[in-house]
Amino acid sequence: MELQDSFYPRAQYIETATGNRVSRASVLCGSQNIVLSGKVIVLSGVIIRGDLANVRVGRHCVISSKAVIRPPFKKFSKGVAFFPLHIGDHVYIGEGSVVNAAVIGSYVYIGKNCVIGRRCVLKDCCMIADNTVLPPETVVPPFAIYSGSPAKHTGDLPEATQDLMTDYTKSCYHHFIRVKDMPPQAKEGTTKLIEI
Amino acid sequence: MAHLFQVDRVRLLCSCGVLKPITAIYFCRHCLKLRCGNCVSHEVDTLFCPNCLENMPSTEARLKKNRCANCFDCPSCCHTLSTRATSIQAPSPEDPSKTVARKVYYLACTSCRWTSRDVGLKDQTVATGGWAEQDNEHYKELQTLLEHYRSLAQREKLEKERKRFSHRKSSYFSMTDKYSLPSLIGRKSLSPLSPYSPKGDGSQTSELTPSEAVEEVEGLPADIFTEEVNLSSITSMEQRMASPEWQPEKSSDLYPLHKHILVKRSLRCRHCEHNLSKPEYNPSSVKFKIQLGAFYHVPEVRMVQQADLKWGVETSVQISLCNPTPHDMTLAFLPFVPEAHIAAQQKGEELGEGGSLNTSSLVRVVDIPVEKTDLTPTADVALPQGQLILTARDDTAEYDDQDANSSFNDDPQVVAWRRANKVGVNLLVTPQSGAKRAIVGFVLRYEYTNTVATATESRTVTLNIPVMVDVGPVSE
Amino acid sequence: MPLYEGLSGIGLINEKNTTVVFDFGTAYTKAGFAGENGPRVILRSEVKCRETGNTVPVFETQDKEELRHRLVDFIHKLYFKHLLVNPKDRRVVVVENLLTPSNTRNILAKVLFRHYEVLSVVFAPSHLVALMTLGINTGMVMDIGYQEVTLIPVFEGVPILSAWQALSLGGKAVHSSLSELLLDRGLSVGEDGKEQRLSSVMETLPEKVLEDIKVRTCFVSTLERSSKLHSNKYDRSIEPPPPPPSVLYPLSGSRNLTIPGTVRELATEVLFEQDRDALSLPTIILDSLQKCPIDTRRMLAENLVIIGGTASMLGLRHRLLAEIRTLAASEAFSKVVKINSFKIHNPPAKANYVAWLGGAILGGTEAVALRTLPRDQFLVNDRVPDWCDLSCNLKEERDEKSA
Repeated sequence: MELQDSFYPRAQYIETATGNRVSRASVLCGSQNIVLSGKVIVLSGVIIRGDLANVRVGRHCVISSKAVIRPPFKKFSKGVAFFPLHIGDHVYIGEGSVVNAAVIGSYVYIGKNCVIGRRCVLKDCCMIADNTVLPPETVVPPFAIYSGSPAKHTGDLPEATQDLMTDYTKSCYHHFIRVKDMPPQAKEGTTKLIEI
Repeated sequence: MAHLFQVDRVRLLCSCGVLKPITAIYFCRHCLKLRCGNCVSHEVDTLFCPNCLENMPSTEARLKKNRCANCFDCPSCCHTLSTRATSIQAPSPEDPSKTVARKVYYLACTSCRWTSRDVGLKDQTVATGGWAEQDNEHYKELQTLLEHYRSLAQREKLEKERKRFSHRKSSYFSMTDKYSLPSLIGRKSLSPLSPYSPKGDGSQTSELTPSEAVEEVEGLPADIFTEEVNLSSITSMEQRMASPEWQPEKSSDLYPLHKHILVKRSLRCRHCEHNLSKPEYNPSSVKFKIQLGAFYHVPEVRMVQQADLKWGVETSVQISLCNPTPHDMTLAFLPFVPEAHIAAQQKGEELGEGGSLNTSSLVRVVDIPVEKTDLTPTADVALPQGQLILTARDDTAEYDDQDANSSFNDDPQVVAWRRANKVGVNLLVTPQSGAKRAIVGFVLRYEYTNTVATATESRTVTLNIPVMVDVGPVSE
Repeated sequence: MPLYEGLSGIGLINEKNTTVVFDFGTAYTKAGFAGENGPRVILRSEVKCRETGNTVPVFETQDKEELRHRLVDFIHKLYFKHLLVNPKDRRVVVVENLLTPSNTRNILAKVLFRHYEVLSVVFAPSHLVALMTLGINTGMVMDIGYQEVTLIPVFEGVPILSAWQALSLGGKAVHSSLSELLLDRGLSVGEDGKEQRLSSVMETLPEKVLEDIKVRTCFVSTLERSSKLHSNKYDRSIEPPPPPPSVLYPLSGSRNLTIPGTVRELATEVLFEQDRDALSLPTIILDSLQKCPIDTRRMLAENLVIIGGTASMLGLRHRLLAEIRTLAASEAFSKVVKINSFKIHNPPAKANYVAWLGGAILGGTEAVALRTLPRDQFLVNDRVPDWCDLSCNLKEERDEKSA
């Protein structure tokens, strides 16, 4: 199915020079440490904790509403230190997910309500199904599908995943359309597929 | 990612008779046919550990029993174990009276809090490689058994060779020998395994003490009728099967397991022996050396919008067609007749592949039996007549603001929209009464420009693909 | 004078590729390489169904095509997730029950040869190769599996097929008896702390839960206790022995199940209760002895071998021996089978993979090359030559052979 257009009112979103569309209802702490590489959609209710450490998000990412992006910490003998969080290009993060990973590769799909434990490493082209809980320090190899709680390797992705994710995130961006005013009954755009 | 674009809605008919979504099908450029995971042969390409993402050569994998040397799994929940360090005060090697802080390491699971100390394993002084392997207590016995039977089998083989040379009585016998008639199968496999009984010259067999039978076996432990059962100290079936040779029954016997390695597969077409998909050697890389997925060579059909379908009511449904090749493509729709298709497939399988670009003379004898799938459509469709042209795929098109699509004269009733290499097409679908979901079938005819190295110049061939689209649920 | 140099630790023959050994069971499948000390993997015989996406047991289907699909998917999983070798051009040893339906055997061979293009397959009888792990040639081998128990005596390396015995008393029967007892007597404690009978809370217990309860809490009680319990059933005045303690077992969510101690002992009694034909686990051993030639009986009785997953239950072998001895001395059998000494073997492996180990020992020898069914011979008519198949057992060939 192709994606349907979803709309957002101009007043509620900030559009930057590089094409990032960030909702005003999201909370970006320490915005000087947050780098959004371009054409990134950040929906309402998202919390990005740039005050703890650097957060870098790649191109064409989609961070859905109420997600929490939080850099992981490591306990040292002399206290705690927070590690920078790198997210690759063309990553989709579902609603309500809590991401504490250390590195997320490119072309990754993270479902709704997931919990990615601290210091996890997600390699390119992997998928975390909805409602999974990844225990801390898991390494997710490429083309793996992890699901369950605690997460286990349950499936494999097709080889064309890279192009599928590229296509998906690009068309999410393309279908996220700005309008001057929202009609009163419509919900704010959440780039959701029409559920059958 | 079956749900991403709901890839299961549109399925292609593979040459082995199975319906699969486009992401699961490969296109063989030499046979010019679709192949799916069922009818290609899979091969193990590279082995790697899912945790440290290090390659492992196959010989090393065989020695280590397909397990990574450095990474461990928690025996209790099968999550990866992480090595933790603590420092202890230990007497220093030079001066026993002084104590020095030293680092010792233990394994801990982050998801179920199991640690190596729970089973009594001592903390190691080196970070990696210190953990000793478990021993199988029956190892020696089994080795002697294996040696003994090996020598017996060797003797049997030698005797058979001798018999074969000396036994030339009847010509019928030698004929069966040469031409492997079915009688030979019966003779060989039904010959009893009795030659394993020592034939009298026990001097040649190795020293094997056969197992002694005992009068009594261990009964139930006495306290089973009085002691409380602590469920957490007894292992479950999964925990036991994780280490098949030891199968610990008590939780205190659970030993950390080495992590099992994963495999990257390469796929090969059975008919022409060419590779369809070959991943790269590096485990972290997602690129492919050879990637012949149908996604890149076959026009992709996708549903655009869900329409309300009712029995017998003709509704307009939109589908989008996308051209993934770097050449312009002409498309046409043809009606789909399931029976003709199945018959053609079976005939094609019997005669062998004709009209393909197969230049090798090694045609495989073994064929996968053709699957029978239910191909009856549950809705009638009025297909647009005439041809459609799809422009080539151009990756720079997103940076171009210009819309160069006005040069095509598109029938507005057929073509709803056109964008870069995609086209939206309107179809009229009439679900049959009684159908739960409207399934529509049609054959897509398109021109494929071949760039195979064996052909002297690129040839354009016309190919037909049967497509089944699940349009959606039907209400009354 | 060895014709090859082998690495004794790993069992590699000079062939480039090691033989793969499979033991397909209804509940669990054991797979590994020849010459090794244990299977690489023991996993449940389950696959994801192609149409519905649910996990289904592989062998529980009547439809041939469906069985073929499930076997293709299952063997794919075995090769590419667990064994990690190419199936092509490798020999395979399949350890199987002689009483497997020919249909299943043919479909398995078809999948292995056509789909996976293995080099050759040997179908080894599990009762025979089990004796190879002990180094003996004669024995009464009883395989207590999930679906059924099969018993075939082997004398001097030859299975005495006419004395075969089979009963559908296995893990499955224990599960159903356990389920019945629990639904009747088990008490479930919900969140509110109320205790109710389990049957009012749920209709059936899922298989996995039953298996877990069976493995962790149940055991086979001794002959004396069992006879007391039995007599108590009929005559309430006789005191039953005190039951073992009950166990609090967590079901899903916050619901707990109290397993009464009596259930723990009684669940396995189904294996020893004589059914309407007066058959049970101990009686079939004696029945089979009856059918064997007289001069073999003493040797067979002194070489009992009990293998199979269900045989590893606590107390089963002890009880079985006690029952056999009692039965042999009882009226029914003492006149017919005049044996009074029974001895049992202890195989060098856990009971559930002894047959696999025998197959691995067989696979590690040259015998595989001599007895195997090569691919081109199978493809002639898609059938595996079988002991019960007349077309490969005709009398003329046998005369030729002995000529």
